[in-house]
Amino acid sequence: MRDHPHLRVVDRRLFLRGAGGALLALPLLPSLFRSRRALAQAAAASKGFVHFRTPHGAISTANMWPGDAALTDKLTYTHEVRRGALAATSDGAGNSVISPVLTASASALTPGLVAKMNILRGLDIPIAMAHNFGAPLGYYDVDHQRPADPRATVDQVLAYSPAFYPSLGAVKKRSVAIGAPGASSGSYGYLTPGVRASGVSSSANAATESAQGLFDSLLAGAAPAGPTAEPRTPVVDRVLDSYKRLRNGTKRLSTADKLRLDEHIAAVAELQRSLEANLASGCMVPPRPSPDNLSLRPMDGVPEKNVQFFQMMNQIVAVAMSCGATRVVTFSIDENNQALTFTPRPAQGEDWHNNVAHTAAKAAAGQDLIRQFNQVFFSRVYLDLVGRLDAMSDGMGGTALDHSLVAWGQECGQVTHWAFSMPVVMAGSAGGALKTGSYCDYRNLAYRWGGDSGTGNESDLIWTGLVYNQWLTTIMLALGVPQAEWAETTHPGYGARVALPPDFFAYSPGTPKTSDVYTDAMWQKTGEILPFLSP
Amino acid sequence: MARTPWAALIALAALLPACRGLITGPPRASPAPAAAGPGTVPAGTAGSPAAATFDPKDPDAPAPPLFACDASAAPPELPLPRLSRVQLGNTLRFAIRLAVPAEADAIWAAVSPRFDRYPVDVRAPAPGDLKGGYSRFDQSIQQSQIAAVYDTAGAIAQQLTSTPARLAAMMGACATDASAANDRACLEAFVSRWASRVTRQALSADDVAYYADIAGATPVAADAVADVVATVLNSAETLYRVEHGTDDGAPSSPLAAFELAARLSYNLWQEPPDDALWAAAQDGSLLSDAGYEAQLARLLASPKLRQSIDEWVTEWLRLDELPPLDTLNADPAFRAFAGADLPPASARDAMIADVLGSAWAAVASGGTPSSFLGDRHSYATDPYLAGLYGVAPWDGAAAPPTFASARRAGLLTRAAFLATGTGGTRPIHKGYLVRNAVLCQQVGSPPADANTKTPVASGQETTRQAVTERTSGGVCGACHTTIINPPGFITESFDALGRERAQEDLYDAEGNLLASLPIDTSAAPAVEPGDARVMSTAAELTHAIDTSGLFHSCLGRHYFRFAESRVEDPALDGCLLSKLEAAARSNAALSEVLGVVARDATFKAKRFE
Repeated sequence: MRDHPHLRVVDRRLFLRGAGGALLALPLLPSLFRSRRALAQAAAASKGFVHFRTPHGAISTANMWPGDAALTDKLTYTHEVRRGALAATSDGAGNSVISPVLTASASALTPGLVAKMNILRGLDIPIAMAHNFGAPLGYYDVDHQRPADPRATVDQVLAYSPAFYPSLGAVKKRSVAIGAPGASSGSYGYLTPGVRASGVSSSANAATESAQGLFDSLLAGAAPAGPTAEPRTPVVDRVLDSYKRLRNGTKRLSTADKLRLDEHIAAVAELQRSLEANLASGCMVPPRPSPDNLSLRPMDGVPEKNVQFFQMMNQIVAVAMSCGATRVVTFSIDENNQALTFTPRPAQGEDWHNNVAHTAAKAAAGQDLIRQFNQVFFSRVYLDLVGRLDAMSDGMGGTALDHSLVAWGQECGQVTHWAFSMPVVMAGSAGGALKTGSYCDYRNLAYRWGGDSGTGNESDLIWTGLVYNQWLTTIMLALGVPQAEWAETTHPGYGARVALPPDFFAYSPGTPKTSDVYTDAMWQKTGEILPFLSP
Repeated sequence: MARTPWAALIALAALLPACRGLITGPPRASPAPAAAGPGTVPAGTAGSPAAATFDPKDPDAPAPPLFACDASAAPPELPLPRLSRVQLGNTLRFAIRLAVPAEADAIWAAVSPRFDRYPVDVRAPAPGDLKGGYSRFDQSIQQSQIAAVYDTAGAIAQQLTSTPARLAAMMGACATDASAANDRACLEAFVSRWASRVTRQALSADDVAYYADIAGATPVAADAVADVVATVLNSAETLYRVEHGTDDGAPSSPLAAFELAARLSYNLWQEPPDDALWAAAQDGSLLSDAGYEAQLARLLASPKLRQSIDEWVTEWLRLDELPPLDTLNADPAFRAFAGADLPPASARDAMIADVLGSAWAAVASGGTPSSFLGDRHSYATDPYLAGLYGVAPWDGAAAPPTFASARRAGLLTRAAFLATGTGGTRPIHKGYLVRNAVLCQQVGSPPADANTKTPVASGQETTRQAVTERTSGGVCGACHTTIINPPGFITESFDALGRERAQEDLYDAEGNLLASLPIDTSAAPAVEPGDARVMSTAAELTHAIDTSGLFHSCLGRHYFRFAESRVEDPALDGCLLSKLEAAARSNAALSEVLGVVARDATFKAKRFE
């Protein structure tokens, strides 16, 4: 794609945010735009994707979703699906309430923001999944192990998509994975990034959770250095040359050695590119966070510190996205590896999982802790970033959020270990590519299934729905990545076509076959944007 | 209402891949184990129920060996191995020390915050063995690695060249004298001397000129030298173990001396070759049998070996899974349970250090696999853990004290194996650790919908009783009743801080004592398939594990994984695995067991196909 200097001016001048959350929106300068087409291109180029993944799921129906009365519209799709207008009510105490978990201060969860959100119910990954880090993004890892048929996660396809990143001028990092170092980030790319034929890496992209680290990699050096008297060849050029010298030299290397050198060369080339990227000169960069958010530790059992830990990173992420330093960010939140629960009850290693998440299907105390965790996360972390993006003018009458898709996915559905009805909360229309303001319920009320062997009540509230792949497809299409970049052979949607055993539902009401529940017709719909979301 | 969950369980029971009430374990050795491709479940650990091998008439007879050698098999080669994070950090420090030894610590302190951003190597599961992986397996090449090392290398280069004094220390007086005539030679001499050590190779004249050319027309100018240094530190030869071999025509080529030196030093010391090893590579003596043995013996006897041992043992025995012990110190029930032994924040590290101290003592003092398993010495240097053991803190120099109680029988009764961070023990976790990490026996994963809530004792039942009640029925019982729980029950005579106990004290949430119930430690751990003996002490369990030889085989398997940075393929790696197993089972000194890998022919050659 050719550069559009006039559009670059728009980026510099209009995507601004000051330190500490102060809004600095410059007025729209329509004279900067030469045509409606250019405007559309600018909007398309600025799309962003952020995904939060939280652990365990296990949020009960009553805590996660509005009442069924909110589902006012019906549509016959592969089965009957439902929607209603997403709405928040006041609890009389200064909060807006969509559901017990989706509750936040009325100043944060405003009607305007609610109108920019969707909540999606009834999306299944039809395998016995248990624990996973990558599944919400498309790497269907069962119990943290390598999938039999791995796929790169959507964030990595986005990061290397020429359609999503038509220009890399200001992009310091194509994608950022935030999470506990040493634990899987849940973000998986190709061995040679962007090259599908090279195969899916068996290692997740390394994560960081340092606000200072984020700042340094995304926002540091905002002001381009002036020309030196005798500029030297950048070291990265020398480094790249040294690899090519080895790769193409006469000394013996195995074929596999050369393939790995090629991987490294690709990464150095990307480094070379990123070092040449300069933030827009009008980008208002906040001060480098000091002390770092890592200094908040130990913070297990101290919810306010847990919140602050993420808000410090949110600030960097929001500015970086508005400045075009990156457009893809994933958060992998894990109470065990990060020692945080957003509640006074500490994670204490695996205790949270064992003694809270697993009791949540039926025990009031466990479910209440799960509710607290997720409500605080939603209101203070997720909405914090959403609110920051929505406070940034895009200079065209909208906000940075309008061009973005900020999603919250969970490790499991309402019963931990199970991937039925994986909740999705999203905000932003991805530049108008998605219709917002809906509570969508894709469950098929003809098929009910039970879950946790603890035989809790929540286990009896599981219905199957559409396959989660269609949500991944929706992400890709909304963000403008053509199907050619992620096409499958077994279905038109994104990701591996997985399947539960044929008789998995044999003891469910009606004794359906798995193929009756997740029909071929349903899989053939996976290439479409989810019902109710097309504008 | 309960119909669907039970239906799900029934459906899932049919899906269970591994645990059918039998340990999936070692087949009897055969001349040529069944082929297993990369990524398959390691033969001898899982996949089929193990046949009973235990002979009740000779209960101390070892189990059959797990591995067999197929001399025609060609072991796989790890392509272009990337230095682990630890190894890379050591290499960068080495490069600094080699350049400016007097200021090495200060320079590292200045640049290490940048290296902190280098991604942590992630432990991926071994196929079929969820927790059997090592961080060294992480051979991924990531953008964030390249960015972090580039940033760090640049900072190091800037530091090394930041003053004329540092330039002179690094390059000699020729770098700062008034003459420009010797500048190029000065730089080339530095490159030849320093870069060859950092990149672990003999640099040709072309190589030296290539790096020197980076400096351009001002060979000893600080910014020019910094560019050279940064390029060297970012080179493939620094970040990877680049091996070309010495025979371009052979599928498997002997390594060059410097390549062999690097393999040895990174494998055993996690760092580049030291001066003596480098000299042996330079003069060729490393390629002679005697010269190689001399260097290997030196490396195995050095305290520098400890870094490797610590990493290996920590990951093998999953010591990093031990949770912080002080998190619940404000909880009334936990306070009542701990009493005067409320754990300090340092307790977790102290418990891990105790196990590592035992391992190192075995390696450094000629100890054997058996002596490590049965070691009854305390390596607790802090008063808290020493107090739990009933001994004085160890001073780190004198002979370590012996546990006060004879019931503390060795490895399985060290606090790190017993403590939970809560007031309750975890027999399931303990049993799984023994079964999986100590014996290398796989029990498969629980069904995805298993209720894995930790059974907690109440006022009416002990932890053991709660565990039994939770796990004895349905699909759970098949694995838990005879395989997972018994080894964990046997150490129930120790509480959740690792203290000995005669009864289990149970408290309510406010810390009021509800009951003191008797402990039952009797169980049939079936260390070897077919062994029905009931045991009740950790000493009995340790003895059974020791005499079975399965701990020794497991140790060999895990050292293979650590040393080779990959999962074994028994069909292709059987020769080295069987050597390791034989050495371990012969109770050779642990250091000799470790040396088996370095003495193997595959260690001294590289496969190019």
